[in-house]
Amino acid sequence: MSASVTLMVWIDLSEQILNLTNGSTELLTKLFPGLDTTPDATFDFALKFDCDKYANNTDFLNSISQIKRHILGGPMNAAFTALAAGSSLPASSYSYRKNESMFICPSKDKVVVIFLVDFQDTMDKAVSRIFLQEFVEGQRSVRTAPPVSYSKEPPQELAGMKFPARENISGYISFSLEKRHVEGAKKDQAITLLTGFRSYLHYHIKCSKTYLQMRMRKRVAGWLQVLNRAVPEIETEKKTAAGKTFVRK
Amino acid sequence: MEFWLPANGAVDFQAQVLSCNSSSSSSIHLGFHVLHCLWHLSNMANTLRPYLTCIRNTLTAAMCLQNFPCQEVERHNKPEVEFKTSRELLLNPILICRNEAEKCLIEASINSLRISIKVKQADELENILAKKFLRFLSMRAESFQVLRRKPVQGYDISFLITNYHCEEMSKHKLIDFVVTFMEDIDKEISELKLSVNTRGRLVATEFLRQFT
Amino acid sequence: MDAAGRPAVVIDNGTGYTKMGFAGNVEPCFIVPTVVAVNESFLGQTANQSKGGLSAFHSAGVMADLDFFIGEEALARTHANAYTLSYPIRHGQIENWDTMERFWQQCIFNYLRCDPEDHYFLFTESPLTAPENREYMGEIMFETFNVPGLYIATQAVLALAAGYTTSKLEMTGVVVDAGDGMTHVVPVADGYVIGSSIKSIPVAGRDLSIFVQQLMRERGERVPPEDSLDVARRVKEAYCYTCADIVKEFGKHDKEPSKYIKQWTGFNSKTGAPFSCDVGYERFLAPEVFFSPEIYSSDFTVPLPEVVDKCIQSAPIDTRRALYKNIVLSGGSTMFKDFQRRLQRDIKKLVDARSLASETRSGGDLKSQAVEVNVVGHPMQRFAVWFGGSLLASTPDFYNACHTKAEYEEYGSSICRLNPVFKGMY
Repeated sequence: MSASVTLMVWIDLSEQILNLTNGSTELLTKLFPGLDTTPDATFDFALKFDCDKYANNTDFLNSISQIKRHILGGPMNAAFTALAAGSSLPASSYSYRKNESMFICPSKDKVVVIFLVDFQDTMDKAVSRIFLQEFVEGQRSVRTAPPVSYSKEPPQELAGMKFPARENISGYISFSLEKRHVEGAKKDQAITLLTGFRSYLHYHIKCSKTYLQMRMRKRVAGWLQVLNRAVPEIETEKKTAAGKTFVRK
Repeated sequence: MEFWLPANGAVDFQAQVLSCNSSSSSSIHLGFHVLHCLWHLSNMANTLRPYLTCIRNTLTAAMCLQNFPCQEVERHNKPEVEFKTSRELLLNPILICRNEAEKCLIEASINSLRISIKVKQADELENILAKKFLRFLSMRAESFQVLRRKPVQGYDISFLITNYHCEEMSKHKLIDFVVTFMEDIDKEISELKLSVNTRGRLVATEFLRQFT
Repeated sequence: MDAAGRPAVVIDNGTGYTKMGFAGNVEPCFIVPTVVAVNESFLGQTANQSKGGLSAFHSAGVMADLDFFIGEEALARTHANAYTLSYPIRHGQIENWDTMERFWQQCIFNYLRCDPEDHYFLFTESPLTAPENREYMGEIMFETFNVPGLYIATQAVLALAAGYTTSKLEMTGVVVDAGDGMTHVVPVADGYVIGSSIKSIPVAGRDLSIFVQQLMRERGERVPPEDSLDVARRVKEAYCYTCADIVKEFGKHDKEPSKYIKQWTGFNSKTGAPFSCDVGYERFLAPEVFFSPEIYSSDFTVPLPEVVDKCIQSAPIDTRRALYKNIVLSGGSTMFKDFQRRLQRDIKKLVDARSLASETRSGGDLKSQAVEVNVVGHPMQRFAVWFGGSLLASTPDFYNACHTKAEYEEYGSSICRLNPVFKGMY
């Protein structure tokens, strides 16, 4: 007897990403051959597989758990494959979150992946701007990494593209991947990194805020101590744990 | 009936301020209501010392508070500096400025003293950090007895010291606290900012390094 | 899809274990020990050290606050030199906010792997939590994690709601919540906690483990000392049961030792050497601590059934019958076999004795209607609180009851101060 499980995923991707012949479907059928991918009404995407058959198949399970990467990475996969082969695909854009988009702009010798990054919270926004700026600075010391640029205005690659212009966003960050960045095994690594870029950034913003909170708690505790020094100590009767006093009668 | 003489606090009060200023190399401008102490020094770090010294001396002078029941309503006893019911109970407020962005307003009255501070905020991040920090602090106003829950308009944080605080706590330690606070807050905010920057650098480099 | 369309995240932070998962599920995704292993080198970093420029900052470990582990991963580092274990919750109250915040950070980003901005959150709290603690929790959740909505529920109410699947939704009852750090007896009437009648007992799961450890040590079992508490906990979880009569039980054990004495085999966590030990009287003596606490501690000697009875007697008179009828068990330390039967029997005894006494006092003229005593256990007992939270958070009303980020920004963390379940008239 075998049980079958349908894995339902909803991911904030506009319909286009799944319907377009952009590589997602290709990548998925390659990774999960012969799988039924018809979704239920309320979901964006579904995978049906036999539980017993794959229970101990670690590779398969890892693959399943990274499903978001595969879906989002599909278009990149196609663009990078084309780059490695020396050709180029037309530019495309995907909204990977509400109000945030990813653009893939291939040209003859490179693929520029641009993220429109934005955070709702003002604190997050401010920190994200600092962080994004640091990506540009950081690239100077890590020469092997693809060139990075950051701006608050849409970069020139997006000149011909249509997308809703928005005010006061965190900014645009672009990674220009050349052929050397997507050769052989590097390709998968690059896709994994880029699809995880926003989560990585987000995680570290939250961690920084936790760190700030810790610092603030420590500092406030210090001030409280200074203030409490102003209160003259009142002699209280000291007692032992059992409630006895030290006073001799 | 007992008379209260406003002069006894105010006279040596102003004398104190003046003496503190004459000892430091600064220009004094005496306004009708506001005493401006502006330092025209190029080096910021150097101005911090006289700025804090001036605040310390002013506070020492201003903190001669006494119990004073409300004159308008029977059996009420409120900080006059907040309610401002009668003019004769209030002293001239003093504004001590280090520069445009950093200033400290000291308002004194017969039974209470209000200190409002504006903290330096050079850029967007410092502004947000300062706001966040001071909100964090106001949330704990309960344990900081002298902290005002809301800052006076135009300032970032305010302290309200009443005669009761002065009775319970030692006056000089209380002043120490205010001065330590002012000393630390700038330092802390710039350190927080630095830590965000360094973290950003590390986060970015770590990410980019993985494109092998 | 906005946050209200996604399932809420339900996290029940207990003294011993944290249960976390998504609303609508039957079981929590993860049950991990509430412990954080922190790298101490970071704590020594002071403001002065960071002055030495960027490079000094690096070596002082600007990211060292990320060097920590939670749950089983933390326990695995018990013997690692660089790490110290910290238990952020003591006796059901959060005491260390620094480690707690980092614990939540891991829960959200590494265990549940969700974006906190995309989900509503339900947290639980002990019935005796101070309003300030609720504020601090709200502050962390809204400031650091930017959650869109937060609900802080009382554990007892959730435990009652967890019985929903087995019976009709009955929101009146007494919850006996015995976790790892603290045991609470909380009466709830129509969903409102009767705050003045809450009783707490300083005996809970951890004390039972310590008691087992003591007994085994006194008998001279060969357990490596550094593992003894952990072994005691595992023995407790695997073999302990509640007996009907302690004297008879001793007799049974002595008569047929082969049937009652169990073997425990384990490995030394440091050297890896195997060891084995016997498990004897502690099998029934540990749970007995609830019923005769004097065998464990001299500070607290009121048995659990008596506490429950007192608790109900102090509640408003019109709720008492309903409360006796629905005594709900929750928490890992109520999981012992026959715990429910023993508790029911003992409470019944107390109640019957009282009504008999009043009958004799009246000279036999007044006969009272027998009081129905009912102790309810259910399959979800171990994480009843979490399950109740999961149920509650999957109803559409949940999203309206939450404190939202917009409210927080308008009024500050004081919105979390008041818990509506205490707003009852008692």
